[in-house]
Amino acid sequence: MRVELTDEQQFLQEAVAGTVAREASLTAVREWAQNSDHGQADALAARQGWTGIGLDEEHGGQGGGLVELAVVAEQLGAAAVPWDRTLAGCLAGPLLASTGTELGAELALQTAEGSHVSILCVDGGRPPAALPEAAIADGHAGVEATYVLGAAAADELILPVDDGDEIALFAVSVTASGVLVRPRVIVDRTRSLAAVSLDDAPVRTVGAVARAAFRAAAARAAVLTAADALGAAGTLLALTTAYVADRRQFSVPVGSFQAVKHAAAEMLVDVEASRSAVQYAAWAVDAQSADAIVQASIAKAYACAAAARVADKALFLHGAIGYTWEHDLQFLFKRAKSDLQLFGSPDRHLDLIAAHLPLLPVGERTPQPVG
Amino acid sequence: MDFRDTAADAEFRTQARTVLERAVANLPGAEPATIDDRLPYFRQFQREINAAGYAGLSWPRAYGGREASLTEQAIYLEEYDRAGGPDRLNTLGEGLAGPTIIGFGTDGQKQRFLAPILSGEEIWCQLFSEPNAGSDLAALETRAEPDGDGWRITGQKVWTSRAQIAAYGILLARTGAARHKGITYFLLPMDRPGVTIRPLRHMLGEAEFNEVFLDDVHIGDDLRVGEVDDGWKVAMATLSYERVALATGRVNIRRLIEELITMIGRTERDGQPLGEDPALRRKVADLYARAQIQRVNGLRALASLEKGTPGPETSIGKLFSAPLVEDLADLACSITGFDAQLYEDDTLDPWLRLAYQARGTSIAGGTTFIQRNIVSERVLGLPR
Repeated sequence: MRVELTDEQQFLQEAVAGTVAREASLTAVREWAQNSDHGQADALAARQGWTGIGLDEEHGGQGGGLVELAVVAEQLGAAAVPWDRTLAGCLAGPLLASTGTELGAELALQTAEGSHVSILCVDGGRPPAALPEAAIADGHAGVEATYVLGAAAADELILPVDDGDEIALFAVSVTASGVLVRPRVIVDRTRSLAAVSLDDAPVRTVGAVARAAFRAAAARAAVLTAADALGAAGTLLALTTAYVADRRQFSVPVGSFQAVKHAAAEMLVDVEASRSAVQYAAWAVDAQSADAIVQASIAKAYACAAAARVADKALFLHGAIGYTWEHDLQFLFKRAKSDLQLFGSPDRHLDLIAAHLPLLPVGERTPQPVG
Repeated sequence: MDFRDTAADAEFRTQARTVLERAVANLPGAEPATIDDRLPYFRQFQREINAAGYAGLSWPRAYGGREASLTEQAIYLEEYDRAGGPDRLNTLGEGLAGPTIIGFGTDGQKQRFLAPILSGEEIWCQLFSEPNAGSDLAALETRAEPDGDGWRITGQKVWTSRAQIAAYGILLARTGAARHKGITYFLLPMDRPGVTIRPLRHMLGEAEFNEVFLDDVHIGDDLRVGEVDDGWKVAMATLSYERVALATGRVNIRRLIEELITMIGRTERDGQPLGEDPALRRKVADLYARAQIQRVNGLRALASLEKGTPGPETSIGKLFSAPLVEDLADLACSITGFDAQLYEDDTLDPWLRLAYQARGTSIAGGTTFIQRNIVSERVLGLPR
């Protein structure tokens, strides 16, 4: 058993943290968020090669797996760096490559390079295994998908369609006729979500992937969102411990009050337990462990709910200053709250976990939640 | 990162499983209810485990142990639970007293005490807590006065598990005025004149632990461990040996969640399978998730301890697991309602017993609230 990160994984962690500190600090994030402009963050991700992590080198990626991507996700979540286009591309890339087709390989490569980015056209508010209802006929597609992650800055939308034993993938250029991508602004302005409407839009057939491969992509989405939330929670805890050690009332640091200490200790428990959940799930998906899908939902349900709890405690322990626009806490607070919903709320993932547990008498059909 | 057993650990697991399964199969019937009857049952099991070389897992080979790594110790505990091994009546001897004697004891003490611990012949108890020294252990008042070539000990100890079957106790007594630097560590024979053991019944009415009154008990100086007035250091070492148990949790949570799921699968409410209730399904899924995380917390804590640089993950074990066990037991009890609360013919529902025990666990060894203080001060660095 080797429970810790390897030397290479630690090196990646430090490298990403260093880059974020230099080029994507909370000061920079504030500017990007206020202008709703994620272009510089997207360019940084491509320049650093983060867009290619998780895609094997023979397809032009950087190699590594979900463990490495989760390391990156945590560091980006820790500074609320906008990276939704990169995240969405990292979910699409390995799936495109696994079609084994020329077009799939080309789109995967371009996504990894950041030159022409493909993203999965699925509803970002639900577990991604829940496919959008799409009508495909004569090389054209019709679909309505809400809150599609990274669509606003993507070049190619990858539409997954149920095809019996497999999931068929179709590519739709955002510049094609009949394609409407309408960015949606939510309170977390580090997030990039868009409503996608395809009305008789021309599609290219990319190929097909096994259901298991698509479920693995959904698991990757869950784990990376959990890792992002873990990063945000870690920073919220660090900001809070620094603040309560410094802030004085009644002539003593407020951090000496037991009420404050107990809340801070609960935050630590949430952060460390989330780290356990995220690391284990990332490993389980990479190792193709039999329960990888369940572990991914565990990570998503637990770490995102925990980050939301941590965010609330962080805000409360900062008092009024934390509630202001000027304080950086808002970016991490909102990120934690939007990670909670991204790719399915904790309740939806608890339903997915429950579906794997033998809670009904033998012979009774387990109700299968969508996703 | 790889959460699978290494080849060597897998081999250890297989061997331990074989030994444990055989020892369990050789036990005479079900585990008896009372602690007095459980003692011979435990001893038979322990003798077999000892003969197979699995007693004193963490101890050096020179003292009859196995020098197992922390990971191997954790694997052994997992396999022990899996095999359904009996109540481990001598955890204080094997886990605390033995390692303390090995680390700080004299050659004579090692020769006298270690072998009977490994064989299960002598059970040990811990005489640390006092009525006025709980979380604040250094406030202890039991006194040891020099008397010729030995000591006379007077005071009161409390919350002493297994004192009624123990041959010896590890004892802290005050020999000087200084709070920490005035405490000495002794090994106390429980059958000496002046030792009175009074069962202390907990809120379910069962005598799970005891009060121990020490009235001018005489012991020789050969039962002192470490220097006079230097017992605090020895005591801290004793408590640090609990780290594997604390890091991995002492309750078999994975088995509990499986039992809960099985129970739900067999239960109907108003003619419908209970497992169809969406709210209940989410509650169970949440417990299942936390049980899985609890195991990973333990693995991470062990890895960090093994490296010798304990990180924050080593401090959260109890804060994470204690509420989990309470929630598990409470959910089970809420399903069976008053059936779970029946107390007829001296029989208690196991889930109800667990629900109460879980409260005890949250208090024992430093209450959850005290743990939060400790974590926030020592790990997060908040001001005292």
